[in-house]
Amino acid sequence: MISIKPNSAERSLRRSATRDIRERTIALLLLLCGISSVCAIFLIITFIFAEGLPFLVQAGPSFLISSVWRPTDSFSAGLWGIFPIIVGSLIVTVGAVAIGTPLGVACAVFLAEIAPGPVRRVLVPSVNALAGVPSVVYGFFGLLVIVPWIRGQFGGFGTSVFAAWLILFIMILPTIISISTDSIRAVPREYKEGSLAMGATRWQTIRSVLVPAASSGIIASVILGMGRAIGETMAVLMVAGNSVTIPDSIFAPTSTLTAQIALEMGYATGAHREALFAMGIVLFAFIMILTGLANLASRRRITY
Amino acid sequence: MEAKRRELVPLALLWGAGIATLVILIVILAYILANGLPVISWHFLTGEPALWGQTGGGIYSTIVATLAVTAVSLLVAAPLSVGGAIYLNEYTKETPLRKIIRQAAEILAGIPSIIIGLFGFLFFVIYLAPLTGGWSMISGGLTLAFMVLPISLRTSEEALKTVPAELREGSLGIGATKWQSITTVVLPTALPGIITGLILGVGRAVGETAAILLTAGGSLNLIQSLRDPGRPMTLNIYDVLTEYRDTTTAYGTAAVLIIAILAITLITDVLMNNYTKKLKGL
Amino acid sequence: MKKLLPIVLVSLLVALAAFGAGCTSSTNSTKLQLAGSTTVQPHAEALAKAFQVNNSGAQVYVQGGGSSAGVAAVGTGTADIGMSSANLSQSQLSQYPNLKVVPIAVDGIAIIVNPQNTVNNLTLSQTRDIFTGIVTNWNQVGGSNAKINVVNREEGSGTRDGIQKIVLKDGNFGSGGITQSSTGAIRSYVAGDPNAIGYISFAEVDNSVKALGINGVAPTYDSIANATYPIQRDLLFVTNGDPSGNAKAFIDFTLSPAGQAILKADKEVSISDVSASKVTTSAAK
Repeated sequence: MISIKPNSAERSLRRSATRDIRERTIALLLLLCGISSVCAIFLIITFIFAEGLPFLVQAGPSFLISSVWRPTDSFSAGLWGIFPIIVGSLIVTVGAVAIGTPLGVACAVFLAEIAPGPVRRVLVPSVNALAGVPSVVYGFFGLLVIVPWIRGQFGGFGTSVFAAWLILFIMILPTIISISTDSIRAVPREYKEGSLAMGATRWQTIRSVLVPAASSGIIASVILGMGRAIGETMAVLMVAGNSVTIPDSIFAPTSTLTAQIALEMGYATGAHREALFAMGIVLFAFIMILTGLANLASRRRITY
Repeated sequence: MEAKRRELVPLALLWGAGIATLVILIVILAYILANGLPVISWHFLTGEPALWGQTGGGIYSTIVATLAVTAVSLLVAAPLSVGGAIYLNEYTKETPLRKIIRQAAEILAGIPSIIIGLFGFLFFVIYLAPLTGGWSMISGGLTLAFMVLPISLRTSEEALKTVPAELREGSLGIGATKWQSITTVVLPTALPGIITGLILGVGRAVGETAAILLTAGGSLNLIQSLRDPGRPMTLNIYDVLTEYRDTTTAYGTAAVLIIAILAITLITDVLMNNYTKKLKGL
Repeated sequence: MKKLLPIVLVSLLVALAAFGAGCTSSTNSTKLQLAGSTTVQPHAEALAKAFQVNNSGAQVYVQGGGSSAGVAAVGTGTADIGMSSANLSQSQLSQYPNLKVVPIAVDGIAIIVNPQNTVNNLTLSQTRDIFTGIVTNWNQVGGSNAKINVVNREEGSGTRDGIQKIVLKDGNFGSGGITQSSTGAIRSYVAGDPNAIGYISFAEVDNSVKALGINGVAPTYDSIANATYPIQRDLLFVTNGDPSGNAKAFIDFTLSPAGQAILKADKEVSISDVSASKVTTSAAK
């Protein structure tokens, strides 16, 4: 009589079938985990745009061009011009990058090529520590040390574009330094050795061979630093003065998209709140442009 | 000789850049710690906050709030990021999906914290209010998870990449399934790197303010549950400074934060050094 | 390591779950959320502490954000009581039609300058000209030759609203000032800048700043109570619908002699001390 009990072959087949299902389920779960970032972006974009886009469309270009921001004006239905705020964001960012890039790239070159081992072992964790300091602590330092210093030396409010530049450049230094250092390190050794072999000095090699070869990564780091600067909120909120005006000097106060949102979000209702979300969309657009540029820059490779 | 002498100026400048960076860090840290360390005491760390305008209170409730939002964010971000990293590294080839996920993580990492806070306010505080309790530790923590996720995703993926292929192939060769190989061989090898990434994410969560400002509430009361509003340390610095210029508490809180961040930086550095050494030994 | 990990994870999850489960027991019935004006906030915190002593089990949470934020919070249900230092506006009432207000005290707004400033008095119209940006130098109002640094509150602030209504007569603030987002921030800015001028609740004035006399009247408890000091407004607790439950208990406590005594000690004029001739925040000369 033929047994209907499973023999060893069938048993192992069944085991592997359940194992298969389990493996597939696990793979699916992991896929879902991976998709979470995509879902996150979707959620963020959906909610922010849902709240802000109608307003942006309705307000039209005057939102971006007008300089009058009086959201709670009881007489008009609110006046929504964020041009000074956009200008503030840009000025503050450009200045921080202008100061931070030379220092950051120089420090990166130093770390990658010049610094002896012990110095590097101190400097690298220090750069990481700089990156780890919370933005509110930077703002704290700015408010208590830098703002009074500016007020004493240069007059005015103290809370100013200049104060924002000083704090922001420090905050973007680690970004520029670490990515640039990696880029310089990634340059193939043959480039450096070839240059030295031809009699060039260390500095000549750095200047004419290494930095150009790493330029795409360096540029990417600067653009990322720019993204960090334009997106910074707390430190700017505490040191820039929050004045919705186009600054007439670097010692004048200004406002940025981020700080204005943080300042008014607590109490904004109705159209005012939608306007703030519209500002968020504008900010988001800037960031996307910068991220796209950074990607483009890092893909370019200088070939010899 | 001529070239060597011309070298001196640029080399000096480069040294200067390195030293300047170091000096900047030291100045900021020294300032905060010099003013803040004397404030720290057992009472400061465990006492209740003072009433408005009065000094001498403690920051216990803010420490608990920081731990609460960090824990919530980790609880959500850790499995998602590690799972996602495993998927990206172990399960797919260079398909468009992989590129999309990577790109999404990069974009997410670049989104300013205030925008994530705006989203968190809409989604967690308002939309999901019955679930999260409105302004609460849960809302704050879930919002923070959006910021921790891309960091730990990236570092976990890097960690998994450094596991030598031979280990995987060896494990599969003796009949283990893919998942078994991952859990018994790949993950343990990559674990220090993954944990480093999670700790970095913790550092980000602990130091975040703007998103917390919009989602966690701001109450100084000690939280009784995760659905209560609270005030993490970073928010406390901003609040005490702007609302009643209680610089003493602000310095003390900042000092505690700095020490925590420095500890995190040190631990991750040591871990990474040990890890890369071990991997080289493989 | 591999064996330890799941145990650690599970115990963490259990701990978190237990912690979070506590939420279902500490229900909303014992939790009271106040939000709003940073002028009212310190007093609300003092009242909350006293209230919690007498009502064990009650948890009163107070957060700031500004008057408009508080009204919005109570209108949307995120807070139980809104704190406002300004009367409700038309748009607020039309957006949240069920709001009810309870005046809890009268607050004077002090115009503050740095103690080094030689100016001690301003007329109401001089004050108006300074904040609208018409007068820009201290020497135009009897001080030294220096640019006036105006510090404003943010737009949602009830204190700013009070200044706009009473001092500016609904005019617009000048564009040359900076904005700080709370009472304390204004005070500390003015304390640090010899040429600054700002406005905060009289109850928050301390030795670091100097409060100006307006039209010859210095702000004191009595001058606010009898309305000779012109810049003042009611402090309000706002609820969505008639107050009930814990909110009602807290408001009753605030209006009780014990609660009013706390406010009085904080230099807020108790409702009972307000002389009969003054009723609303009417514009003065």
